[in-house]
Amino acid sequence: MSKIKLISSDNEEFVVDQLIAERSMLIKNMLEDVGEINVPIPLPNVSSNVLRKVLEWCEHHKNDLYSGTEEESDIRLKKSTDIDEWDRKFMAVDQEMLFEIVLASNYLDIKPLLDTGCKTVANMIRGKSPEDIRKTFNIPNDFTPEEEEQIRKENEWAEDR
Amino acid sequence: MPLAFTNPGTPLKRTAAYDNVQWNQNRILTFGTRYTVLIIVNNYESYQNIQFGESIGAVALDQRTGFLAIAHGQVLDIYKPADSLKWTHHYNYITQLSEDITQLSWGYNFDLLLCASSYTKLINFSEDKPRLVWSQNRISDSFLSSTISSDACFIASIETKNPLAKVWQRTSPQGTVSSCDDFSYLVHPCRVRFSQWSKHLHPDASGSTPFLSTVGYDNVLRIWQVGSRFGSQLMHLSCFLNLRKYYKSDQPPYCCFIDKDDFTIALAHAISRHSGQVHKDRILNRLLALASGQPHIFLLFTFECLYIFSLVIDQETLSSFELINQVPTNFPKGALQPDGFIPIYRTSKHEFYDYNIILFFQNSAREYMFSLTDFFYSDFELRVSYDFYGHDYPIKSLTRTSNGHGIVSRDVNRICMFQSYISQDGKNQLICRFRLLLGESDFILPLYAGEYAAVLNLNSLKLWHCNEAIPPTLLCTCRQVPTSPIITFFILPVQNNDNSALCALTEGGHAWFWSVSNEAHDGSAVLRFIDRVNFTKNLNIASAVDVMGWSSTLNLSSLSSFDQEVFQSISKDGLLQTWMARVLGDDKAEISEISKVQTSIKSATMIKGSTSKKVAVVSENNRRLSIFDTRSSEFSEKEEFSSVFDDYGPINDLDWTSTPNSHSILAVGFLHDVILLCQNRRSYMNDIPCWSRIRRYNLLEYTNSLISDSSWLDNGTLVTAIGNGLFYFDNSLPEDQSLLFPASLKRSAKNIFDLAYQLNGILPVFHPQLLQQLLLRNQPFLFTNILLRFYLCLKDDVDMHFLLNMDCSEFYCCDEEISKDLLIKSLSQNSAEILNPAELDFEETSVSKHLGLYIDEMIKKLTALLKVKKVKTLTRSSQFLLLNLIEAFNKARALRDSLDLNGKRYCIMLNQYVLSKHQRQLTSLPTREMAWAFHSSNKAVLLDHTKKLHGKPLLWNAVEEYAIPFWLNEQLLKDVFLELSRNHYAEIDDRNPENVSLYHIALHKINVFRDLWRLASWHKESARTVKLLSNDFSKKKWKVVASKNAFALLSKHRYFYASAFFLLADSCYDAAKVCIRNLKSISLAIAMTRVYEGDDGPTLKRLINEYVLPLAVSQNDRWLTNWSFTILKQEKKALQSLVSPIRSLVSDNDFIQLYTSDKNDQEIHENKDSQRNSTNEPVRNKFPSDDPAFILLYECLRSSNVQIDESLEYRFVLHNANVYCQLGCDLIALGLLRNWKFQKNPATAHLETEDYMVTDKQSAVEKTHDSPKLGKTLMGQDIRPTPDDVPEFNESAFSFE
Repeated sequence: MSKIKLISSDNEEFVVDQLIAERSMLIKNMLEDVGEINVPIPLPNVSSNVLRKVLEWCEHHKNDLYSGTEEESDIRLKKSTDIDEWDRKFMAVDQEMLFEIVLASNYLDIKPLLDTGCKTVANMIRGKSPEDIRKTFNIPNDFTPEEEEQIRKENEWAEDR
Repeated sequence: MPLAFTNPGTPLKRTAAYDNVQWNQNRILTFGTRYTVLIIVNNYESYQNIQFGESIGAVALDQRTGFLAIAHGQVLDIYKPADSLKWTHHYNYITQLSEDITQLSWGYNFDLLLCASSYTKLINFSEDKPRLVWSQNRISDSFLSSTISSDACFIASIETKNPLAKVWQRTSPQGTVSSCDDFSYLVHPCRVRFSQWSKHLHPDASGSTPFLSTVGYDNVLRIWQVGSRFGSQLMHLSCFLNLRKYYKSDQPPYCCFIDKDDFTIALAHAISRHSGQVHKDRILNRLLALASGQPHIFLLFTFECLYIFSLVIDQETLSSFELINQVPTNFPKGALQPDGFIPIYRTSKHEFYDYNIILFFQNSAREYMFSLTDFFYSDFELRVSYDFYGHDYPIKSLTRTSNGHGIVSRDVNRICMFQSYISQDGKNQLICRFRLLLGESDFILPLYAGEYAAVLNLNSLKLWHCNEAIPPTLLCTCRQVPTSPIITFFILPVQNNDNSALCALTEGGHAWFWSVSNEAHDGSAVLRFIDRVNFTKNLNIASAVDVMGWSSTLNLSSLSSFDQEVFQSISKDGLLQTWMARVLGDDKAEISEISKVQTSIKSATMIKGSTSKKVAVVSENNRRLSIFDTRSSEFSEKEEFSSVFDDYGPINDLDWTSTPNSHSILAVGFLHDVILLCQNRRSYMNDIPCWSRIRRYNLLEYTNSLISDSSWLDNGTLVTAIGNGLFYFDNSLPEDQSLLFPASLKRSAKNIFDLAYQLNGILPVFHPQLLQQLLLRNQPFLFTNILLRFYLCLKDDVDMHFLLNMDCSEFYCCDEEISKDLLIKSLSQNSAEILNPAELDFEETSVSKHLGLYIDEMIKKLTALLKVKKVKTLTRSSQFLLLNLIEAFNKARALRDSLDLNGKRYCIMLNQYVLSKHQRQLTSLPTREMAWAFHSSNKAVLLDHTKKLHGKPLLWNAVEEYAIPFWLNEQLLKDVFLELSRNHYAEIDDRNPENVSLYHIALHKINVFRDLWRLASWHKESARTVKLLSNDFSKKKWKVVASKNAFALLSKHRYFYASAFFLLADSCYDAAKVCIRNLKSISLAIAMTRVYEGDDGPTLKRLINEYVLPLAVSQNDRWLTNWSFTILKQEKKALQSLVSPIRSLVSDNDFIQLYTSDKNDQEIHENKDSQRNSTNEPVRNKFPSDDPAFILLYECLRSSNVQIDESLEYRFVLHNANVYCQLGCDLIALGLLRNWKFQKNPATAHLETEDYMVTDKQSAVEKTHDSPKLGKTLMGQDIRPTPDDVPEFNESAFSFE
């Protein structure tokens, strides 16, 4: 199988199967544009950390059937909480790293990874304990009732006009 | 209470160094450790620890006054109880004899009996000067003990070799004159082991005649009663009990007395706790029967049984012991032999057990508890209630195990104690695993759960295995160790159960790595050297990342493919670096830099990093604390916090912990205090600092010693080492509000984690801050949908889920068409709740046809409801802001068709400005809001909207306040000037044309202006001015005249008029300078110039370059920078100014230097200003770089022609996602990342060498605290007066020709 070279933003070189790299629509399109595969492809946005992680995912999912159509994306979105076991473990990183993966998959145009990443973050957010829900969310520096009165008075335009 | 536990040190194994009393309904327990004395009130309700320089000899509490006497060496210190059950120093007395005091006891009226081996003295401390009342020197034998009776009438002494005990009688114990001549011998057949006066609960009650108990070497307990039965003895043997009958040993017996009154009270408490009917309880009835005889209770413990005796003392009849019961017991085998009666005391009323006793062991003293009912139960159980142990010498440092359950404390005598802290189900337990003696310069590191320890010095690295059961064993030694001094020694965060990697950093900038493999877990671990790596040449200090907290345990396996900070270092000149370190193989390790920040901190003294990439640095003689965010972001300031802590002394310790939600908390240790700092969620509505103090631990409340070290354990427990003691605080918040800072008050948090969540956590979707961001991001349908759900919940009093049960994808998909469909769907489902179809005039009532109507109606109902009903999960202020946001949204909706996106943004933010201007003391619209209006193409609508909002005739003040000169277009600005010229003329009764001079002349309406002067015939200058204005000012001659007049007006401080005359002289630049320099208004200069010359005139450009840009740079105001470059038609720079630090765009211009060169002068002149800034509270940057509005405007302004470097944009997006998270809007962050549209050009992206814009990371550090302090304000920003370059002039020039 033909191999291609990818260069991360910190100049680390990754040699991967073309099939794996082409999970990224961006790379796929580039390869088609260029017409040859011997030229290393620079990815100036993606650091080696993130690229390594993304390629790990592509490697595991290289045989997934994926047409890239909108409908499929919609179906995946609907089941917004389902994440398969391997992906769940793969995504068990801190939120900062998750954000990097989401943006990288947006940039590299890998829709299934983008969806999985978003779902993972969403689950993290949803997974806040029920106790948290009852918390009062303050804005510090509370107004005093007098201040409120004053502000409302000055803001009467909002009601009158 | 927050103080959960202490390690006070090992108590002295002598009963003389222990005392307890019941005083003022408080049970006070005190005992000495080697160098400290502890006072424990009511089972730790209050706790105090007093440190001394010498070993403690004896302590005594005065039952009548609560005074505490402490003897250490030949010195006596007396402490008196103050309010809140703390003892303060009262008196210091030095005996001036060479012998140590061994025993103390209090008499009446501050009489204190001192006993040393060669003397016993009674000294009175009631007056300023101590007075010797009585003394007795040794005759032949040494004193073993000497004590005073509870009624203060008798003093009993026993001697070491002599079988004779002596008793003296004081005839007037309360008098000032002593008469202790009378004494008797109490004859024993053998030497006396120990003696004790009876302790009475009510010593001065009539029934409380004291008696003396002695135990001789024959193990016979003798009771000596006052008075003589036969002859003239002061006391006589009342009865005795042969303990050998029960205790088959020659060793001293374990025994104690319970006073009769005390016993009655304890029984009453036991009965009050009893849930069933007392009379049916067999055991309680037996106890009641026992108590009815008013006996003293005597307890004799053997290793098998407890013997309970009653002793009834009666002056009339013979006293006698009666064996009440014997019960099997679990008396601890390791207890040391007593040197007196066992200390026993009653628990407080609400405790489950009745009595506590203290037994001494080799390394500790244990407090046991038992119930009275056990006297008659099948077996008598002693339960450990507290283990008193710890270091004898001051603790130097603490090291925690990586799991946070264990701690190693090390004292100045190099003894290390390994302890495990277990906190579960509200119970705290501390287990001391073992002790180890170290070398002077050894570094110690506990491994695994603390059962292994690595000890490193410049000779070797040793691995110890330690277990409670066996003494520590040395497993192996490695000789490959550093030769230059070691700075820190730590364990690498990536490890599995079998193998760990250790790392040491040296002063020379080397890192050494070793591996520990422990596959068998049987104590056969192997230690091996791996590698040595040089990572820097310039090292000042370094420390390992503080890994305490949840995020560190988050799936370690994933960390292998992800760089994680391992340690951080700072050089002498302030280069802060974070490093990743990992072991690559058997003999290879690697260190790489993750981030670096050039700070302004020289010679930092302490550095500590958290797992969430925050690094705290201490500098300036340990007084200044700075917190840096080391994330590789060139977009924002690295320094998030900097403050000088003067109130608490120098900082001596820093510790990070992370909450379950990955929020960071920093504990800052001072001499006597630990202060917690917590990160704050950013507020878009208020100015709040990034970090705020939340809680203070005031250790002075507990001890006079200094804090030496502190450390976080698991679960938010903070352990602090002070003197030889360790104090454990659980994560709960104190009731005492003085220990909380404003940020923590008025919150319902249960503990510090809760509090951190409230200050940081994700906001509920109905929170005004999140809703506002949705509007700014142009998601009105999602916004409306949230309002609808919110309304339905509020109306029906349904508990509000923080997502209102919406699917997260609704937020991050960010497709307004989908949101619209979803809104229509939810509105249709609930249409009946909102609008009654019968009320509609039209036949077709579907929601989609009349969406606007339904929304109007829903908002109307919601706002009505919000005015009368409190939302439980919002504070009043938040609800208030929410209501106003909804109203502002509704106003903007009304203008929907005539407004573009930036116009709507302006309306929303203008609303917020009006709401908060008083609270935030703003005097003008922030430039950010100006930028929205500036980049809107609906300026006429916005002007109209602003004027309506203002509600009064437009005057200059309002024009300036709303930044109209900046955002309005040229034509409309002329209209505004026209309006101003009318309004100002009409405003003041005298109709003085001078007040509108500048407006008319800027508009080139000299003739109108002249006519106004003609009308003002009452004015003495009228005629002359009319004449002057009739001339043709396009001629040079008249220009000169106008100019001369302008100078003359300047001298008369008629600046506005002077500016008008400069304009008349066609010197627009001079006119503008008068506005800036004398009228302190850049706005007026800009407005006047734009009206007079138009936007393409030369003066405007000059003003921008000379005044506006320098102002923007000095204030770090990117919005004003963007405005300036847009006016200057430098689109690329305008775009970049939203992304990159301003200095990177304008640093080539020397005006910055011009601007900063006279900074020093400025500071002298504006001392007042700088004083305000030097307060302890951190000064927040007025224009934070972290504002998601930048990316919103960036998205608007970028185009195929004007764009910035692709990878810079990429990092900018990522950065803004984090900013949204800091605002508590994580879902919006996700939406941004998911939906960002990259402007890429695939054909060229990888084939052309990108022209990377060089952004020097170092220049990215925008130090706001050293930006010039400037004077007067304008548009809410300070401006600098211009150099005084207007020439001197002759007043005679002011003459009209």
